[in-house]
Amino acid sequence: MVSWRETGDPVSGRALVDAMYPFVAALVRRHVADLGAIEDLAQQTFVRCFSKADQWKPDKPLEPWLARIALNLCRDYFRSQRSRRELRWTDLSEKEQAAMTATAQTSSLAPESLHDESRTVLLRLLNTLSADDRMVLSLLHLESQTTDQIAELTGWSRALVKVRAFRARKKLRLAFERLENTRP
Amino acid sequence: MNPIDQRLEIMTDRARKAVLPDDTRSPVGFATRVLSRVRREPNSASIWLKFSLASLPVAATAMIACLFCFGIDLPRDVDQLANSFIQVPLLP
Repeated sequence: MVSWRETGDPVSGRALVDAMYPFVAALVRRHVADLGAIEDLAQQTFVRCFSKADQWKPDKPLEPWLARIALNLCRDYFRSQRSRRELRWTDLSEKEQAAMTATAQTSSLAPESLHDESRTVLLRLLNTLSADDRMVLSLLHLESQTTDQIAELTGWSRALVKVRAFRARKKLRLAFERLENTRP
Repeated sequence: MNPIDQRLEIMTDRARKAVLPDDTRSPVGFATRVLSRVRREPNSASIWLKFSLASLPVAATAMIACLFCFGIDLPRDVDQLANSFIQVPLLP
């Protein structure tokens, strides 16, 4: 990064992309399910990283700065997705319906094959929330980040993270309940 | 715990255990696409620089036009203004 900033050398830029791609792609993938959007968001993250390279402080690690850029872009992506309609039982695939039903059983009885579907249903439920609510819940519950870490990543205060998480959880609970109520 | 909360908790636990594809290598040509996009997209600092340089002649022309239109009265106004200030007693 230092070399890119000083010289704009494409070789160092390429090396940086290759080295940091696994980190950025994994981060975006944890929030976004759409495969096409994942690559585009990863690409936008690097473009923004290079064009704002002068804002990065070399004495600080690159990863948190990159993560912040990627999460901001994910948030913008959620905002642009205006399909925040209610999720209905008939919108779910058979496996996703099975994953929903399996939540009524104890975790030991759930087949491991339903983990992916559980994640898909959860992401679809999160899609019904606003971009900020979605972001705070996926950071808190899917990535198991602490309030401090979320505050650092999003630039929000700790109190705001807590309040937003509380309200978002309430909305998620409602969305889950509504989905259950549409079950035939 | 409320049953809905409990079910959500179970779903979140399972979602966390989902195995995500391993992105160990970037797709073919990814870095090239990124670098060509960086070259194509001008950075915001240079946009502002261009904008401010382009607005300089416009601002100068507008100032000259203003002086030309109102310049005749200006010295008199300034004198009047100065005189009125001088006449105001600063100390009691």
